Amino acid sequence: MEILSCEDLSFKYNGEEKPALDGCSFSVNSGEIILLCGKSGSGKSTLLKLLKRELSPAGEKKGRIFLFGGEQDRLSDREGAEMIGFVMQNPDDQTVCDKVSAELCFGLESLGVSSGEILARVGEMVGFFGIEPLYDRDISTLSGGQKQLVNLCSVMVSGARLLLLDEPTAQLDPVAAKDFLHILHRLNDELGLTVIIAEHNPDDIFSSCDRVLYMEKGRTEFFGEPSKAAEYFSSHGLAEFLPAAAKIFSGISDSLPLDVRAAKLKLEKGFKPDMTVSDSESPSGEIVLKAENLWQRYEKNEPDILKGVDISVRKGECLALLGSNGAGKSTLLKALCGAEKCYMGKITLFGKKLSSYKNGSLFRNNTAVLPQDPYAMFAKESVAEELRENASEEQIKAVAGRLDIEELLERHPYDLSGGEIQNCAFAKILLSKPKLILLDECTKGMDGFRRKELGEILGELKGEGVTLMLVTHDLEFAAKYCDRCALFFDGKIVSEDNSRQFFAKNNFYTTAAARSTKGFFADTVTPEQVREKLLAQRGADDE
Amino acid sequence: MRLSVFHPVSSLIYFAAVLIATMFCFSPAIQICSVVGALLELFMLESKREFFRNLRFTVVVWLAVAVTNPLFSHKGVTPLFFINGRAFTLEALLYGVMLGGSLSAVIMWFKVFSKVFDRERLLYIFGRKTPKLALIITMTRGFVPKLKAQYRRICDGRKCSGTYMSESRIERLKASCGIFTALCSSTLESAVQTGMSMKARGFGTGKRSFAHSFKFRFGDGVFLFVCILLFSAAMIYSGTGKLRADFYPRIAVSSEPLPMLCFAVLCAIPFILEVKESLKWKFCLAKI
Repeated sequence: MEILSCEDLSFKYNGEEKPALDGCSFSVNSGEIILLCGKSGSGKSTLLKLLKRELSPAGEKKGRIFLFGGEQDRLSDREGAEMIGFVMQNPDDQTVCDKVSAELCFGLESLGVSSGEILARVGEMVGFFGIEPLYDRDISTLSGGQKQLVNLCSVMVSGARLLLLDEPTAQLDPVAAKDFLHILHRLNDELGLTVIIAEHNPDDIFSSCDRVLYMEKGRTEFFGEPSKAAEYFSSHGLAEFLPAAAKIFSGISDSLPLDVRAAKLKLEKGFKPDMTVSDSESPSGEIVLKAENLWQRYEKNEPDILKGVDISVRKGECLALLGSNGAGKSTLLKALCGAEKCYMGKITLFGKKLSSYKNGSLFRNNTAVLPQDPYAMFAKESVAEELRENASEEQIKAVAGRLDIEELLERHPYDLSGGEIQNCAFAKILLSKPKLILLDECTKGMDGFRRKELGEILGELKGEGVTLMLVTHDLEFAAKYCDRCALFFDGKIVSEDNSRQFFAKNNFYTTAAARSTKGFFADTVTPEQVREKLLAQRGADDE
Repeated sequence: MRLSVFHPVSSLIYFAAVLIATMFCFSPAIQICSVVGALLELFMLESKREFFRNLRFTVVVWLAVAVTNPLFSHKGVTPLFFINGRAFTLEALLYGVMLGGSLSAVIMWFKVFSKVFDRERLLYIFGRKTPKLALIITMTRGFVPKLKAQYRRICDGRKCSGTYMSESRIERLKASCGIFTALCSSTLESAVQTGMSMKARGFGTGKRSFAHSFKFRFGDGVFLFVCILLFSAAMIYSGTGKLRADFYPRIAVSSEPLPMLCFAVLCAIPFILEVKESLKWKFCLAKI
């Protein structure tokens, strides 16, 4: 049964020349999971918001939307609120109340449902989600992933039949993101819920969705099953939207595997194992940042966050600090630049003790930090104004060109998307001409293309002798663009190696490419490395 | 049943009764009963450390009022000594003791109130009739920690990027202003998002209802009946002058045992219930 369809839907924001949506037509059947792909600014959010009338932006709309077998305008306010659920990107902004219990009741209270029924429906849904332990907690004490689960649950309590999600996992760490998507699948499997989800990271959902809707410049360019979508992306130079397993075989084989299992099978069928190990360079160069035996805790009676961390970074290298959520990676980063005090240990930066940098001299043309929340770096009316704080017009122009943010300069920081603001924040950091850059979760909220651009810029910076250290959850990014990786666990660095060896050694905490080729190739950890080997074998076969 | 288990309306009426009696019956017997009752209940509800802190606070308030009153009031017939030619009278001192007792009793009862009346009960009292007020309460309580977290994030962000770090005071003032503006704009921005999320979930489509409910049980009825009976007894006696105290110019206290007992029992009810429950608990545990 058709639950939703759009006929020639176009939309133009007030005061903008270009239409945000330009003739979208598609229809969705009840019980489907639709993955919405597209570059930043391709109109995904606009489309989703138009489908939820309450969130429709102001502008000029043409075309028609049919929901639940009737035109959108014929739905009453109450039906619209009840039957269509919407989950946004930022978990914090969506919560209204102080307690989880109040938050879950909010929707039904707004609809004027009686007390007994509210509690019964909330109880049911909390049981389904398995979040009973959270029910009595204050929302401010929850992690991002937990908040997002509560948001989803509170939408489901109202009895949603169609769920719209606008990059719901962009602010979550990979484990929390997986949990979230898992619940979505259960809702779909067990309740037959229809889901339309916009996602940057295709790995977890590509193979299990029913259809993929690809948008470009406000148009729906492709709409079809995942396997067909994979072929489409592969043949149109859009490999960044593919899951890692498909990326490996893109252009090498006709049918593309969508998950690790299929990729493994395909390898074993068509290719020969090859366990030769590639050469690795041992790091050289002077040590820029060195920390010895760092111990830190926030309060006197609290447990230690850092328990004897030793770490050193050499000039011109890029070190990735990996580890689970809340392990203290961000704390370590703050400690390294003096924003958080350690009660024991020694930190040396550029051969000088950290304490000898007084009154921010460390940050003057020396070290720069990109915080987790890049919006926090902007206080002025426009991006350009903020950048002018510490640079001349020409410098700004040069950096803006390099990061491809010229169009964003005159906009207000809060009007930019997560990926765009990251780039602007990065521009601000580059303008202070640092020799050492510490980045905290710099790929959060970025799509594949932006990630690639950022990776390339990091590469260029390394070439200029800038030293980089990043804290990240993004294993694929670390494998591709970082020289060394360190695993942070239990307040210490427990393993440290060249990226390639690091990921090849790990069994579970590693990239999809490494998992696909485990026991088949010795140390291929990115799709590119696997492709290299496969193409070499192909070449040898042809001869 | 203990006080925190009763229906919010019954416990609210109980608190109202005790507070009204404490404030309007001017008699040492009433004040003493009230303070002792509140302290006994706090002793059961709070940890030892908290309790002794409260006890200290009560004594300090009490003494302060008792000693200050004679410094300003010089009525009475029994001067104890003279300060600057003005009499420090026994009557004024005792009147101060009374006043202090009354004040500390009210403070203590409010402490008990805040322990017993958790967020759900408060919202129930206000929220059932005016769900909008309940929403404002819960939104404010949710907003404050968000704002704090955002403030920390912005401070960290600015500190780490080092843009505003300088020795000069003016620069530092500028930095604080920067943090303030950033905080304002990010708060407004997230408020817009929150508003959208509220609208998307049906806020404003109709009359709001209220989710939490409490059952009015048989026990509540009995409790209320006993409370009102004791309260009216105490009030009636007090109205007819059987519980009263005059201090000026001469001390004349009339406190008959029966009305005093009524009020004492009223004040002790929470403590009695608490003791009964903990005994029952011990007994049950022993059986398990």
